Amino acid sequence: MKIFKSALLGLAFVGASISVNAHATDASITTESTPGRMLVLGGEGIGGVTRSHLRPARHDFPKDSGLSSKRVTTIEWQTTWYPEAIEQSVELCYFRPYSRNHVGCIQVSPNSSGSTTHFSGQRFNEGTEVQLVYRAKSATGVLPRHVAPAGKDRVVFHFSY
Amino acid sequence: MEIHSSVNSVGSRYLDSSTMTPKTYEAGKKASFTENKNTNVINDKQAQASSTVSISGRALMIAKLFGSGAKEPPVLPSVRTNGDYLGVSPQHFLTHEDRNLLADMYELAQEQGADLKYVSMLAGDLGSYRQHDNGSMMGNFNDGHQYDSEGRLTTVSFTDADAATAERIQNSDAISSTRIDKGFLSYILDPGYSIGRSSNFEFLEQMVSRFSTNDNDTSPLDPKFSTFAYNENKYIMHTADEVTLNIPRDTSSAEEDTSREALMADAKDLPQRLNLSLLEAFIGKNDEKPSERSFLTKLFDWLKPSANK
Repeated sequence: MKIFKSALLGLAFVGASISVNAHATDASITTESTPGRMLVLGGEGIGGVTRSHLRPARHDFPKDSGLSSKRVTTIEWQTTWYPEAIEQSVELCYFRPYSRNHVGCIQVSPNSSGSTTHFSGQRFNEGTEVQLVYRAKSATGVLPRHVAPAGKDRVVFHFSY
Repeated sequence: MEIHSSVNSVGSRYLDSSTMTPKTYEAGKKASFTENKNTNVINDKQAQASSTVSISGRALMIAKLFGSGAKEPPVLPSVRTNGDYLGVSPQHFLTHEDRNLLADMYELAQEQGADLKYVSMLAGDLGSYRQHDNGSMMGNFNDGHQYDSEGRLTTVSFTDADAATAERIQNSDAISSTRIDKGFLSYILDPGYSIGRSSNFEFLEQMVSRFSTNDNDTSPLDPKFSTFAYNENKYIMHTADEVTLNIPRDTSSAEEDTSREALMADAKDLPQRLNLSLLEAFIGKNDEKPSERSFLTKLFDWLKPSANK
């Protein structure tokens, strides 16, 4: 009888876990970052590139999310720009937790905002990262030179667990 | 669905001041940079007239894409192999075949008096395509997953002029035999992938044609390519009227306590919270179905007395 109850207890835990996953809770974490100055080189095809790293910290997560599996639903983004850079572009790239390889990127615009569900369903946890990759073909003034961003980036991770 | 359109305008239209100076070139020589200047000159005009600069297409390609005096760097694998490569400039991902083709383009542009930036911008886009594993690591903006900050669907299209040129390229006879990668052409001529492009489509059209096997066009390039102007208004953004994506808004305004003490308290509390989570899961706290909850509660109650014995 004791063995039967233990087995039943185990099954109950498995069932309960599945039950929890089937009824997800939604949450969001807001991150901000100021991208570094961009070194724009002199060659006409070379330009410059710099990255902004946006990562949720451990204390950002809801206390009841614990070890639950978390999945991204929507990513809200707000980009800054480099006023002295010419021909700018921005890529938003998603890295799974503690992975050095990203799952993919989308093109977004500098000095703009929006939301994407392109990465919906991707694993999300501490160690996840969004990189905003700023590129420019040239800059005003005499090259090479450093150009500074106008402000901050902001990324809101919406996720369920 | 009604669509509102607006032309992207980050920054203004720039006219670059460092266009080519009118020098006499002899193209098609060895892959080296040679400059033979008459140093005994009285003024700039005389110096210009007596200068003869001979630069091969390959030397031009290296100088323009990797810097004057630079050695040609190795071809890097795409970002699929290493996310750190996102921070590298695109030209480092150009294949040997790309570099050979671009060297020929630089040489043609030089011979025809075109501004070499037209080739450099094309090289940057081709390099970006290679960097993102032939475009496979880059999402299409028109995939139905892009919204504005209110949750209204956004899409992009080309300007009318670019759309017409893109259609001409795609329907041209030259596209079947051009040396320019067909995958790249499909990619760059799709507005959903082309938001960040720098290439001029009219120049691209000329390159597609002149580097195809059945091209007999020996006429000079249009003089309009002799000067280059950056143009950041390359696409039109469309935003739908209705909100179709529900973006949850955080209504709490309380600031999170991120002090060291609070973090330590959180860390100490973690095992208890884990136990609580398991217990909550076990008794079905998050389960909204009354019947299932009732079953789990009953099961727990049934198991509990024996545990208390």
